[in-house]
Amino acid sequence: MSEKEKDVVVTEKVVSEADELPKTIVRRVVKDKLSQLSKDSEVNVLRESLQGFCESARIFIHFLSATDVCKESKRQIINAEDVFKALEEIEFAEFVAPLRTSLEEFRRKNAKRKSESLKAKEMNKKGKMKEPPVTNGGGSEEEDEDESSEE
Amino acid sequence: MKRPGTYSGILSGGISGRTGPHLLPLARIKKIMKKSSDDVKMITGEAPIVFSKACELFIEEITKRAWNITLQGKRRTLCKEDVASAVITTDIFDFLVNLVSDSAKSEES
Repeated sequence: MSEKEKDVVVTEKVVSEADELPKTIVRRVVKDKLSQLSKDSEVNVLRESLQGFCESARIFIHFLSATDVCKESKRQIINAEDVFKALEEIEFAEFVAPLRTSLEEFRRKNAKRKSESLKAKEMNKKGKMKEPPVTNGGGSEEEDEDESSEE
Repeated sequence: MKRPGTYSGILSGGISGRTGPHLLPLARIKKIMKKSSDDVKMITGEAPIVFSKACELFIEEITKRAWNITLQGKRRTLCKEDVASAVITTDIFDFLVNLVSDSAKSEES
């Protein structure tokens, strides 16, 4: 009986929503994939089965993080290459190629965005340099007035 | 005006708003990673992105297999049992077997 009670404790351990992956995004991934697989007709997904997808993905992250790639290389910081190696260790090597492609695409987009923002900053700087400096008390106006009074 | 950061497009955009190859919120992924093990102390900028995409591919893989089981049952609605069967019948999803058996037990109780 005590073992059953222990099992009940484990199953009743509720993961707070803040620790789970957002259901709307998981649902979108599932629906997109299903529409790819079944182009003819619409597919339904029960709400409770989404919970299964969310939980599975969460445990997948745990499982992937727990591999000892960093320990072996005596580093404390996980980088992208560590993740690729870990995927191979847990027999998800088929993911590595599409992930590398995805990462390269992200790096290209990021580099493009950075160069665009740098260009924009430089343009702003140049624009500010061209404007004449504004003096206190409107000195130029006073000079004009003097000229007009002389005339 | 504050410029949007590298990762800010994820939470705000839908499919059309995707600025990068990832959908899942990176902060949430980092949080889950840190909870998994005390050894996980620091994660560089690109690792959560790879994780996010890996999760997406993982969800797609389970979806595909669960869907095959739904079709075998000549149904059009994917249910939790299909997901459970997909996990049980796939070797690389062995790490999820406990999750599946726990949810089965909770249903029985």
